[in-house]
Amino acid sequence: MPSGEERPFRFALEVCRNPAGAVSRWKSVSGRKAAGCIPIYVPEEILHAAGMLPVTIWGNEFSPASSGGVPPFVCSVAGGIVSAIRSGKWEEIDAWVFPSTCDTIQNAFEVLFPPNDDRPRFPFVFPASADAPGAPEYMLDRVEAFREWAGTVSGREVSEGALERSVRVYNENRKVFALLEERMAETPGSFTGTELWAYARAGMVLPREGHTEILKKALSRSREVPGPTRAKVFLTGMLATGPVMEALDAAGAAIVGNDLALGNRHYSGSADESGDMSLSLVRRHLRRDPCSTLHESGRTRIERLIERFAWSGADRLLMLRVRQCEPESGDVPDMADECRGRGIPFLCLDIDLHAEERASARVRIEAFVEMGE
Amino acid sequence: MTRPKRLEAAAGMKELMLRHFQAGWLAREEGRKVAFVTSGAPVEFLHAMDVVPVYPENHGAVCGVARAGGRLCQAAEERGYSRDLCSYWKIDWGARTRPSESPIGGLPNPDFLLCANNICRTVVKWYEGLSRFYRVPLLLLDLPFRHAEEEPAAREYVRDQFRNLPGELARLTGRMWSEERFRESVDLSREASVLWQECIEANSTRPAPTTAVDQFLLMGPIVTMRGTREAVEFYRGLTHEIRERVRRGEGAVEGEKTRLLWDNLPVWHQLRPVSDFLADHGTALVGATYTNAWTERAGESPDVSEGLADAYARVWLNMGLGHRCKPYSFGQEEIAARLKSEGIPCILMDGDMADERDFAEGGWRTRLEAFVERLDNEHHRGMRG
Ligand code: SF4
Ligand code: SF4
Repeated sequence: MPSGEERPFRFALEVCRNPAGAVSRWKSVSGRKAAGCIPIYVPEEILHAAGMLPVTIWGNEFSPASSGGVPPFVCSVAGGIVSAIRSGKWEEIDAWVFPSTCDTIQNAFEVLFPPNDDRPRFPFVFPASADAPGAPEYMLDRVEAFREWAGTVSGREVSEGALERSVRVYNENRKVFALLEERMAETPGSFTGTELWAYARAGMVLPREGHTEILKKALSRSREVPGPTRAKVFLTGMLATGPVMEALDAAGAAIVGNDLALGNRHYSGSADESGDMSLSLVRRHLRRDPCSTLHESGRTRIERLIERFAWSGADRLLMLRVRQCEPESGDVPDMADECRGRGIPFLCLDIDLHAEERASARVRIEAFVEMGE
Repeated sequence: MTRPKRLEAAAGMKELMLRHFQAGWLAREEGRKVAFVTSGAPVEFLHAMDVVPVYPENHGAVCGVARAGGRLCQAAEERGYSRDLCSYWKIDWGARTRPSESPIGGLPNPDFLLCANNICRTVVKWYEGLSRFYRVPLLLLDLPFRHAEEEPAAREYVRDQFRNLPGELARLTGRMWSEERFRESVDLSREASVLWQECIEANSTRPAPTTAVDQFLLMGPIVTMRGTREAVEFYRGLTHEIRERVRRGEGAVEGEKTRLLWDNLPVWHQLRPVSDFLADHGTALVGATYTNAWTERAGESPDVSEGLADAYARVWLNMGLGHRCKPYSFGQEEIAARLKSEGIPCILMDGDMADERDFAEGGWRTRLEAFVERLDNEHHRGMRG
């Protein structure tokens, strides 16, 4: 029987292993609808305020039975999402939200979505550049349209009051997740990579209120401060897979910072809790750090990454690149140069969500951790 | 072997394109600025400010035709760009570090960059990298993806950005914005697009006066010199030559039996062999979905695909898969399945547009041979029936 300390982690891990089961349980208890959110940057507060459960789908929740008619040039995130939908998985999801993350997501939504699937869909096109003239006005229009759509799908209009409450719930959740990240930076090894992964992923499936409680419990534990770690790693990329995190843990590496989309990018930045709520969501989005899918305005993604790297106290940078992901690939050579210039050990590890890469990931991560020891 | 009849205009185009590339190199001496620009960007704004536009994508295609793409991509991969990236992007990087491998010696350095993400979002990452490499400003035009009906807010967003461009360009060039030159350039663009559309549509006659391969090779000026008088003059000459062919009932392919449409980007390094092979079998590539992208015109925006669908309603379909261009390659299998269900033969061939390393030449020939034979048989059955 897990101890009280381990219980939040076990629960989160269980949710990660079977997210569809967790969604199904929530639906049967609440009697409400779930919305599948394709990564990344869906303003989930709106779905929450409409009484729906926003569920981020990463494409590795089911092992794809076959390619499911997905072309080979599609990354395993989008490929996994599409093949799951095409093969009738994710029946717990009542509606879909597709943001304009990248060429692959935009086109997959248009072309590969099964035509006989009549669940409501919303293509959330957001400005690719925060400082483009007219970007706030355009995004406000999209947020309002999304708000209306969510109200229609759920049958519950998204009132200003409900949205304000949801913004508070999300801000609280982000604050607590930030505490977890701070703890990992201040006390390397206080949470393992697998724990970070499980807590980050579980929050994309569970109602945020429940997730906040789990995080608080996890943070309240009084575990012994671990001894010195072999390496302090900063992770960047769209996501880490379970095997990658296990390999980092096994190699004795501590994650002290990350800008993963399935991690910091999802949880960072709070929305203003007063004033016009739609505008507040627009501002939150436009204030984001530059990332691989958002055009860098002023400061580049690499500059920002290096700043965050320094703040975290990391001693090496690990880039996890989903194969076939163009947005993430573009920065890799310059990122590698920057690291080389600063004497920061850097590794770009290609990952595929559906390939069995456990052994090769382990070998490369072990070698990476040994660098400069 | 029977080859498609060459167009006289082709020789003139080489000359024209050479002058275009030279203009980039000479710009500085002439006190003009150079901007790298994406193929779907509104270049008329640059012409208004006497900026010389340079097209890295077009350079990628030129390297593809010369079969230099593989070596240049290789250089980019050695630098850390992954193999699965757009080959135009990688060629651009490769040519920056190994310009001697490019058939035109690479590209001149830009003073600034103008990137429009209406063709894809890949170009944003590409141009961000260019901006870091050359340490020059990047103007991004964020043109939102249109899923269904156009949203008025999206149009307004685009307008806001367009309204902002003259000021930005004035800042970058130190010149006064010239509305007059801008309008003149828009008019010239429109004129060239009308002529280009006529060239394409002429192929709805039988026999087709040109092939889609001609179109691929002759689209250089409409892509890179839109908005200039030279482009208008060039397409005027080409239209004249095509009209003459139509008048004489002269086809590009001797004894045209079968007509094919090409979907997706051209596989630049295989254009001639494919075209010669087909001509030798009495098969004409009469159209391509790619070339009509440059028939869009300001203020009119006709539904070109509708028009084309009418013109080519009864042709055979042929498709290429440009694997490194994801936006263009999406939906190929769905289109093929649909066509097959409607009894229209089609073949899917796999190959990168500019990286000849990703093309199995032998396999391509065998498959196309079988396809053409099948069409031939059906043609004869049809003649007997
Ligand atoms: S991993 Fe990259 S290519 Fe794939 S969906 Fe995400 S951003 Fe797009
Ligand atoms: S990805 Fe495709 S559309 Fe984009 S630059 Fe490359 S070839 Fe052109």
